[in-house]
Amino acid sequence: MPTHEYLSVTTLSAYLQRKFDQDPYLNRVYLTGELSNFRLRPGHQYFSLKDDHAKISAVMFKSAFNKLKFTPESGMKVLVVGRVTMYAASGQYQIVIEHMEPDGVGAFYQAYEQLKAKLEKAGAFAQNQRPLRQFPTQVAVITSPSGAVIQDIRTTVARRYPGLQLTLYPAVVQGDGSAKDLVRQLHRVAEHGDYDAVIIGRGGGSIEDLWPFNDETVAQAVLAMPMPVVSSVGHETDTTIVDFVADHRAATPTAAAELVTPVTLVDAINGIAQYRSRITAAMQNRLTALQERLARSQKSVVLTQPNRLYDQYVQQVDQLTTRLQQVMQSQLEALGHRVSLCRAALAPRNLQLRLNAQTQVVQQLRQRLTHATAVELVNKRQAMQSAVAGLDHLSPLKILGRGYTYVTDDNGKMLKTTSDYQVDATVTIHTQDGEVAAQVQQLKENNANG
Amino acid sequence: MAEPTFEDNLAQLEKIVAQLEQGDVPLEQALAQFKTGVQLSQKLETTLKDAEQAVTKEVTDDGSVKAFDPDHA
Repeated sequence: MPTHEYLSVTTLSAYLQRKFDQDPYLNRVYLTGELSNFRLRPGHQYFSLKDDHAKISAVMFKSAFNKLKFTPESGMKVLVVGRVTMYAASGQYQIVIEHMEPDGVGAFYQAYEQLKAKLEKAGAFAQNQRPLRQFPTQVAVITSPSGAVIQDIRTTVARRYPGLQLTLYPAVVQGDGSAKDLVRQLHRVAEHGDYDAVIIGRGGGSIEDLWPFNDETVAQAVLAMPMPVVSSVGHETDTTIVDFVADHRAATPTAAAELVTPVTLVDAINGIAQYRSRITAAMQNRLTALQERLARSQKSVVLTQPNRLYDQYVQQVDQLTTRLQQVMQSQLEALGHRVSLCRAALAPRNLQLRLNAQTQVVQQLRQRLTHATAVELVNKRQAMQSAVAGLDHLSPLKILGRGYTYVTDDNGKMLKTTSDYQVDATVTIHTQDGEVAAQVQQLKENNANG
Repeated sequence: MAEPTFEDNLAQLEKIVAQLEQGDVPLEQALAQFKTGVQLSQKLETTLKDAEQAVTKEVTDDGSVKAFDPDHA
């Protein structure tokens, strides 16, 4: 009898578990079935999937389950993606579900993903990101007139910025014809044109309910809007195509109303009052500063004590005057000294001495003059005596002495020629020792001369 | 020229605030700006305070406008 090696249950289970885990097909399984035994639990979800002939245990962990956009119910047909594993503790294999969606809407998802990819590629999601006006006056709302959406928006706007005029464009937001109605109202809002923004939205619902907001014609109409579009479609977890193409997306209608009223009335009024107090304060500071400057100038020494301006000069003048006086004084003293020296030199004793000296000189000169004159006189006399002696030889008297005479008329006039005589005229003949009176008797001229 | 919007006036006020706080505007000009600023702020505040609570309107399919009445929607 051959010997067999017996495996433990654990070993076998571990082996089987590894088989499951390593199998490439079981790692990612797409499965369709009906939900069974579903009962919502707070954490992970445990239920079954079945069809008419078979059943498989299913587990959905909390993290995956929280991402679901719908609430599963027993009996619901679903499409799931997951991996098949073995749970050794109970010896059961099971599918661990990563993603689940209701069957029948799979086509919706496909269309949604296709449109999303197309628009994203065309840049439509980033196309419109216009800012919202800070102080809007008119906002249009496209939604159902009966839902909570319009109520939430009205309440929020009335609370934050009551002056804002809301205008409702009632639209059918679910079911057949909804997309067409939404497009129609979008066009009407665009035609009106004066709105600062438009809110388009509806409350939460199933994927089918939200479907009109995944419609391409609606998306294109939103893209073409002339004013910023705020979308608020479904719950926060629902993201529709309209949400992607809108300028702004709000998680709730209240959030949408807050977006279109960025500044509340109270904040706006406070802000403006604050601006006013700021310019008042700025102006006040400015004026205070200028007043202080003015006061400083007014209090300045120059204006209050102008004499200070020339005090220095006065002092300077004083100093210069003093110096001038001192200089004059010393100059006068120096001159006085010189004068007294001169005066001393002019004292009478000195004069007398000089007078005596001069007198002596004069006397000397006088003696020299007298002497010289005497000598000269002797010389001249001698010269004259010799000259007189010379003259004596020539004297007519000497000639008369030798026998010559001369004759004069009554008038004493010397008669030199015959013609000087007249007959019978009395003449005087001058001799050496006297005169002889004679009478002319006859005139006889020598013919030798004529 | 179109009437300045609320935002235009507010921007003008903000500009005046900035300039006055900077303090490099000549005094005469600053006084004029101050006056304008105070007038603007009062005008803006009045605009906001006097705005009555707007009643939501509804544009009906025939194009007429009526007050929105949620109870009879």
